[in-house]
This record gives sequence, structure tokens and C-alpha cells, in this order.
Amino acid sequence: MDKPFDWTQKRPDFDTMTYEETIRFCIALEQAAAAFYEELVQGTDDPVAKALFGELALMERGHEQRLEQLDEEAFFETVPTTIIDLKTTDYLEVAEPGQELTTQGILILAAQREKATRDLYAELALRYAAEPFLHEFFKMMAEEEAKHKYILEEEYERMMGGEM
Amino acid sequence: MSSAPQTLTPKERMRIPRQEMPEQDPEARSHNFDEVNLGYDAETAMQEAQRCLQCKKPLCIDGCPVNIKIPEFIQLIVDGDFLGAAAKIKEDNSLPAVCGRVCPQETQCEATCVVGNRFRPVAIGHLERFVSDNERETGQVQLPKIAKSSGKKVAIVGSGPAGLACATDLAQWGHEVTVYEALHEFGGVLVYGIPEFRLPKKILATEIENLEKMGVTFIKNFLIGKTMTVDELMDEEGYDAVFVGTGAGLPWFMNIPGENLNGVYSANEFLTRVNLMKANQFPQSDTPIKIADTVVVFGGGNTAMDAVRVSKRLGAKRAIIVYRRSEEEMPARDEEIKHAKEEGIEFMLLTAPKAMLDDGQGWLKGVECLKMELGEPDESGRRRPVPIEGSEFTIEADLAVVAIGNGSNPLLAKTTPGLKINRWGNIIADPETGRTSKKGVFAGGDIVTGGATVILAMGAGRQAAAAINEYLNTGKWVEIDG
Ligand SMILES: Cc1cc2nc3c(=O)[nH]c(=O)nc-3n(C[C@H](O)[C@H](O)[C@H](O)COP(=O)(O)OP(=O)(O)OC[C@H]3O[C@@H](n4cnc5c(N)ncnc54)[C@H](O)[C@@H]3O)c2cc1C
Ligand code: SF4
Repeated sequence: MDKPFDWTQKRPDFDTMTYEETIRFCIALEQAAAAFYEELVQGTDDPVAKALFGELALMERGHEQRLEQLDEEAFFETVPTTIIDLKTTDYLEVAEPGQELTTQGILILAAQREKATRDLYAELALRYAAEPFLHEFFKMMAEEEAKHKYILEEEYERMMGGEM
Repeated sequence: MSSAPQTLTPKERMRIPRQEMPEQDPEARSHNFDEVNLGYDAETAMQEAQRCLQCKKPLCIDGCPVNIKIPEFIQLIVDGDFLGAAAKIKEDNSLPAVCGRVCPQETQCEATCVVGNRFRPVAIGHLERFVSDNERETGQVQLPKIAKSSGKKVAIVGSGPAGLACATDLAQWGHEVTVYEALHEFGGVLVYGIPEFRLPKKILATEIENLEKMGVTFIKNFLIGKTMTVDELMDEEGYDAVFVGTGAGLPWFMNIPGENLNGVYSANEFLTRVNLMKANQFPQSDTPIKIADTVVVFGGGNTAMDAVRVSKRLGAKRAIIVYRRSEEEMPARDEEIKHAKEEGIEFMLLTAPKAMLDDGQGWLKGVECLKMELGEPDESGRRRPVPIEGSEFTIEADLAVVAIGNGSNPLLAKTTPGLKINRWGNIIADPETGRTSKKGVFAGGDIVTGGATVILAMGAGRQAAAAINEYLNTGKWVEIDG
């Protein structure tokens, strides 16, 4: 298995990477995201939280698989939709690394990770603009990460209630 | 008392205008902590009570979370039997003088009142307040009869409305009840959160005195989870059951840069300093508070309204609410928003904070904000506020208060093995009975629901009391799902 993606490291320079290296990087990214959610599932008693994080973990595992296979046929069966960006957590600060995370912190961190991944796929979609399959593939991945961000920001707003 | 004639037709009743609540003058009251609402006198209350149509299907009762028999108590006011009216309310609500003041009637009983379909609804809250104040002020509070001792002991953790309501019923049924409270005063948010100008502390003090007369023991400065655990209460102190009503007292933070600067308070700290530690009387009291020219309060709930109105009373020249949604979405009671505006509070709506600004010495000098706009409708058709990029602007301010809500303190759950919590740290409890995942332990109020309302906490305390009573009598424990 690839080395798990380390979120504290800097974004790689895709200019210097081959196509294969880029895909392997994305796979590591998805594995790390899935592991992050799986850990959250383990750490809670709450059935609703288990379901939420479990679903996100499954989706990231799905991405991992999709990147492994890069199957053109299967991909074109899924039609991407445009997701609303609530931007609820865009201006918030991620908690200091090493500090014990509150639920609020977990949601901010998770939503910001999804944003970073969305931006990364959007960048790759542009990079591969000349290759229709890869261009569409990365665009769709970006949309899906945007959807994860939406789910997490919805949950954040629900948790915080109307006072915020 | 004499009985008023019942001669008015429904039309005539509806023609009576809603009786206004007498209030302190806005300019005068924005410099003092005395109660804003002055209360009805008997004549006004009887006039208002005449507006009730005594509906066959009283929708107001459905609107009340604890189903107070509203038309019945209002009829007793019409009949001049004010003590009877107070007793009628107390069948369903242990804290009517509090609820008459702080319940969001406009979204509950008064929202469903039939008169409200064409005119302003019957002022149910004002009437509730009138009869309970009358009972207290005339020294005629009737304490419930206490049943023969059951020989069972119950510990109540937390003295907020949930804990007090639970204690009242359990004491009445003959159980030995002890309330443990972490702070040095009893009442929960009712004493440390809601300011004197909305809820005078003497009201709570009377409630506590009455409970003491009923045999309830109160222990203050006692933090369950630290001084003693729930298991120790049961195994070593011999309690047969424990009710956890510890509330949602852990403030959410905004997680924006500069939030740790001096001059930035959580609403909890700000309000506790004034309400509980009497910082407004410093140096006569021991606790100081920063007196500021411009105060910005973030949030749109009752907590935000309380904080901003307190800051005005402390002497702020500008006191501003910053809220990221529009006024329609503000969860604060309508009356608090109205009163705040009358007192000169500024409202910056569809505005969100981006960063707190440092004066270079570690103190707040201003707040950078972003304008929001209502975004595209989502699947449910709701338009949500989203930040407008590049819309940043600065408000110069020397004090900021974060009032965006509270979560639950993890201490008790962490120190109680077997007590299950949900994803927000709230205790998982059966909504009908308050039974938790741990045998003999019940919970209710904000610790279960997250920040909610006084009446819901009170109702949960009473439901749990009934379930505790049954458990103590039968010894039967049913596991909860989840
Ligand atoms: C500023 C403010 C204004 C509000 N205004 C309104 C309003 O106008 N109308 C309305 O309906 N609602 C209002 N609310 C909400 C309402 O006050 C709460 O929903 C209600 O008080 C919850 O009651 P509770 O008994 O669950 O908890 P609380 O009132 O929070 O009481 C819990 C008590 O438990 C104690 N405690 C906590 N942990 C421990 C422990 N480990 N050991 C011992 N004691 C412990 C706490 O010190 C506290 O005294 C307001 C809330 C705030 C903060
Ligand atoms: S709905 Fe209004 S008018 Fe009808 S009984 Fe209730 S308070 Fe009276």
C-alpha cells in the first residue's frame, strides 16, 4: 500500500509529476481521507454520527477504487450535478495540530480537507483539459468532494443551530 | 373574590384590544438593571383574560410544550380566582413565574391561539406571569402535600429548570432528594445567564426556598465528575437513582483568527461575570469587567440579545449585534429583539465575522467582517447565507462577545462509564422517560437536547421524575435503544 497521505505536507508540484505519480498521489489522498472518517466512526457511540462518517468513508473508498481502475465505461454512467458551496467553514481556523479536537473542530477540519481536495481535483481537471476523459473524470471528482464539503457544512450549521 | 359576569359574546371579546405590558422607558432602562416589563395589575389581567374565547378545541394547549390547561386558568382569572389560576398552571408547569417571562410564546401557545387568526393573540404569557407573581407577592404560595417517605434517595445533578422541576415532583412523592450544583448559586442559566432585567433573581430565590421547605437538600460548589462521580453517588452515597440535568454550558467558539485576544469574551463568561459575580457593581464586588465604548456581539439568539443589552447597560456608546442571517431567522424571542431595538442596539444582519483585530498589545481593536448574501436555493428550496468575496469591512470595537450557542460539557459523561453520548456530546436518553444507557441514571434538559428552552427543560425534568418514581417503586429497568 502507498504511504498514507500526510495532510501537514505541502501540496506536490504536479508539473514535475508523471500521470502515474499523480494518480498514485490521489489514491493516497483518498486512502487518508477514508482512514480519517473510519477513525471517527470508531470514536463515537452515536448512531447518526457513525452513519454520517461511515458514509463519507465509503465514498472515499469508492474514489480510491475509481482511481485504481480509471474505468471509462463505469465513469460515464455517473452524471455530476452542481453542488452549492455554503462556504461556512472557509474562513474558519483549523484547530492546532496535536490539540484534542472538539466536534466543532472535527467538522471544520473535515470540511476544509474536502475543500482542499476539491480544489486539487479542479486543478487537475484544468491540467488535463486536453484529455477529455481525464478532464471530465477530475471534474467529477471535484464535484463529489464539493458534495462532501456541503454535507459536512450542513451538519456544522445544524449542530451550531440558528444562533450562529 | 367576586366572580365577574360572563356576558360577553365572542365578537365583543375579540373587540377588546390586547392589553399592553407596562414597561420601563427605553432610555431610562438602558442604564439600569431593573426589570423591563412591569407586569399587569389585576384589572388589566382580568380585561385581557376576557379576550379568551374559551375555545372548544383550544389550539393554544397544543402549542404549549407542556400542555398547560390555558383556557381553564384564564377562566379562573375572569372569575377573579387568581390563586386557583396559579394552581391550575402548576398542574403542568413548576416554574410559571419564570416561563411567563422567558418562554417564546409567539412561537408556542400564542402562535396557535385562535384569536390570533384575526387579531393579536391572547397575551397568555403575560397572564401566566400575573397569576404567579400575585401568588408569590401576596405570600400565598401553596406548597404541594408531601407523601409519606418512600425511603428512596435521588441525586439531581444540576439546578437548572430541568433539575428543579424533577426535584419538585420527586420530593412531593416522598423521595429524599439532594440537588448538587457546581456553581455557588442555584438556578442554572436562570441565574447565571438570563439577566436581572428579564428575570429578577428574587423569583428563583423563592422557588429554591419553597423546595427547601419541601425537604429538598441543596449542595453548592459541588462538581459531579470531579468532587464525586455518578458511580460514587450510587455505590457509596446510596442514591437509588440519579437525574442528570447539567445543561449545555460549554460555549461554541467561532474558530476565527484573533479569538483569543484580550477583550473577547464568550457570552457565558460575560453574562456570568455580571449576573452571578455582580461585575457591574465593581469595585463593590470582587469581579471586574471591561467597560467598553463599542461592543460587538456575535449571534442571533436570546444569549446574544442578553449580552448586547447588558453591554449597553454597562455603558457602551455603541452596542452592535452581528448576525450572519436575516432577522427572520433570529431564534431570539420577538420581545427581546423589540426591546433591544428600543434601547438603541444596532443590528448588522447578513454579516459574519472574519477576524478579530489586534491593537499590537494583545487587545482587541476591531472586528473584520464579511457581508453575506442569500445564495442559490438548495434542494429544499431554502436560500442560505453565503459570504460575498471581497466584501470585507472593519468595525472598530474594544469588546467582542461570542454568543453563537453552547455545547455540552464532556466532564460528566467522561467520568461515567456506560453513559452513552451522541455526536455532539449530548447524553442519549429516551425522550419520554429520560432513561439513559446506564441503569438508574436519567437525564433531561439541554444536556440531552442541546441548547433549547426553559419550558422544554422543565418538561423533561418532570417526565424523568415520573419515570424515576416508577423505577423506584417497581425496580423495573428497560434498556433504551441505541
Ligand atoms: C443567556 C441565555 C438566555 C436564554 N434565554 C432564554 C429565554 O429567554 N427563554 C427560554 O426558554 N430559554 C432561554 N435560554 C435557554 C434556557 O435557559 C435553557 O434551555 C435552560 O436553562 C436549560 O435548562 P437545564 O436545566 O437543562 O440546564 P441549565 O439551566 O444550563 O442548568 C444546568 C446546571 O447544571 C450545573 N452543572 C453542570 N455540570 C455540572 C456538574 N458536573 N455537577 C454539578 N452541577 C453541574 C450548571 O452549573 C447549571 O447550573 C437562554 C439561555 C441562555 C444561555
Ligand atoms: S386558543 Fe386562544 S382564545 Fe382559544 S382557548 Fe386558547 S387562549 Fe383562549
